[in-house]
Amino acid sequence: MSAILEVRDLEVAFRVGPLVRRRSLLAVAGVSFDVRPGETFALVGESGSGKTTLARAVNRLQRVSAGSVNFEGRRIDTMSRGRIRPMRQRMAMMFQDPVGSLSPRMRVGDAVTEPFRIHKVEASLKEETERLLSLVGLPADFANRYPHQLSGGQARRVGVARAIALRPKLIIADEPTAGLDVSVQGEVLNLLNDLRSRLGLAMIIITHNLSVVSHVADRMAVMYLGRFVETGPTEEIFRAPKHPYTAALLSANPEPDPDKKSARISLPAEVPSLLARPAGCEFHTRCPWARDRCAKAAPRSEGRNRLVACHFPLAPNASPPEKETVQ
Amino acid sequence: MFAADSDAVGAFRRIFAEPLGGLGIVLVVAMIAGAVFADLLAGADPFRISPRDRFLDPSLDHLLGTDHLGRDLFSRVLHGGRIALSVALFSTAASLAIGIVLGLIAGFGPRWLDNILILLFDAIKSFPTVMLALALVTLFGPSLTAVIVVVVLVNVPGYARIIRTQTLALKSAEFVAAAESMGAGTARVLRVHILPNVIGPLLILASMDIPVVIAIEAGMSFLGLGVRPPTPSWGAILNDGFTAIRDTPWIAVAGGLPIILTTLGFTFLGETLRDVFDPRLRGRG
Repeated sequence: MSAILEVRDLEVAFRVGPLVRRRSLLAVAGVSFDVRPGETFALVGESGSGKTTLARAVNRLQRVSAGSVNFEGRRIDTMSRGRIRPMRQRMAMMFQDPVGSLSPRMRVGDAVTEPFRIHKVEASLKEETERLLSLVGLPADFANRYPHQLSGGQARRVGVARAIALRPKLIIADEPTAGLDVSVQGEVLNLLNDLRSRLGLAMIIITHNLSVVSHVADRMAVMYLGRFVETGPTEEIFRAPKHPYTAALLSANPEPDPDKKSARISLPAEVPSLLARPAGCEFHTRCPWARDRCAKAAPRSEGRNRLVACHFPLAPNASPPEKETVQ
Repeated sequence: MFAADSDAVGAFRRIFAEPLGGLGIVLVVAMIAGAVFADLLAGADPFRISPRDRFLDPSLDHLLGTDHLGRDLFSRVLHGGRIALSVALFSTAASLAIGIVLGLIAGFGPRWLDNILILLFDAIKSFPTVMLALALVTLFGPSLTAVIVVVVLVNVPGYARIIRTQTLALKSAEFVAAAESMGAGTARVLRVHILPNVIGPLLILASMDIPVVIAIEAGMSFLGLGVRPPTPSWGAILNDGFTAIRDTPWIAVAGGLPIILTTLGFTFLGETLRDVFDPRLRGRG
């Protein structure tokens, strides 16, 4: 099946610093991926790894510096503002803050039907409100509430209802579980999973929560300093991560089984600054497996279905070398 | 599509709960009623000159007496209220409309446009009101239009700045990005998503500015820069009374008292409105 979204070598640069010493910062540094209809693709990474910027760039909220974004076979990164507006009916975005992404003075009923008004879609707004609210499991009388009268989970459901209002083909969800209780997180994820299978949505889910990824994503990409270090089917990556960074992230994920031995891989040092990217493999400053070559040459992403940007991909269940051998 | 709740009724009740708010409402309602039903209430023609009835004392025929041309002062005061009210409402509405548009443009538009507009606001603000009034009257001659233009010029920079600051703060809010991601154009983002969130404090400020506007109109008419005689204006009546204050002090009272009562009424009302709607602003300006 052909992809609904094709991203190729996408770069997003920000210019920072005073006018005289203005420098360019690559928040997203050449990223390629496809999302197929009905598929859920997860973007994982630490804070500041460029996940949100990537999502905003795909949705044209952020200017793309290089590369291309194709949605439903049409290139949208160079499209004019006027021509992209109709495309937005079929590509919805959910933002991090469930309450903050709803207009404070707009009642829930008006918020979820706002897409109809924006795109002048003929519909009975009252019926649509009821349909959408029941679809996300909210009582119909919530239509009269204001965002500040909602809990985080309820506000998130309203956000979901608004996102699916015009039956989009693709939903980009930025941290759909942020700021929610664990039980509510589960509800929201089940809701998203349910809607995806019922409406045949493709989804991009951005998160730093690996449990979320394993719960909903078919494929995933791990981001580090604005690049993908590993992509592939979620199950495979969870079973046998090949990139040391992925392995470290997975080992940091809480394990519910207390009898299972945890082999936590701890990463030394801080995330490097985007203004001072390390030479060679950008992860070598923190990699427990790093060798001489890692500091010299940047690894290429290898593989077809499963891409790994590492000179020395890990064998399954590899544990980090002893301290003495660490460079 | 969703019916308004009883917010307005509740607010009205809370305004009356405050003693000054209640007094404010009474004064303002009396003033508006007097202005609207001036013809009914006054009985006499405010323009009819009657040289034989000059400087009559207050009586049942002439509740506030007559002025130096024998015109009925009570009628002139009521009709002067019309002028004051229409100037206040019209110029405040115009200031709000212009201030909101400019403020939204400055806050949401490109940086250079913001800088230009801010410079313009500051330039206007740097003129003292009376100097501005004098300059404009020299240009256009004394008229009601001149009064309105002065008021709009004086008010717009402040209104626009309030809207601009708040718009700037909301520009990067997630709900604005959400509206854009849904495909809303700039006009819709501003009108539907930003304006309702920034207009509240401005409306309160504008209601508190109404007495200032009335005072500007009266002041300019007092100086002969406002409405042209024989149009009745409180400022003009005050000026007439001022020249005859030794013999017939009630004329000055007839011109001055409504100015005092109306400005007090609107001020009390405005301050109570502010306390009711936005307690954070209490104790300011």
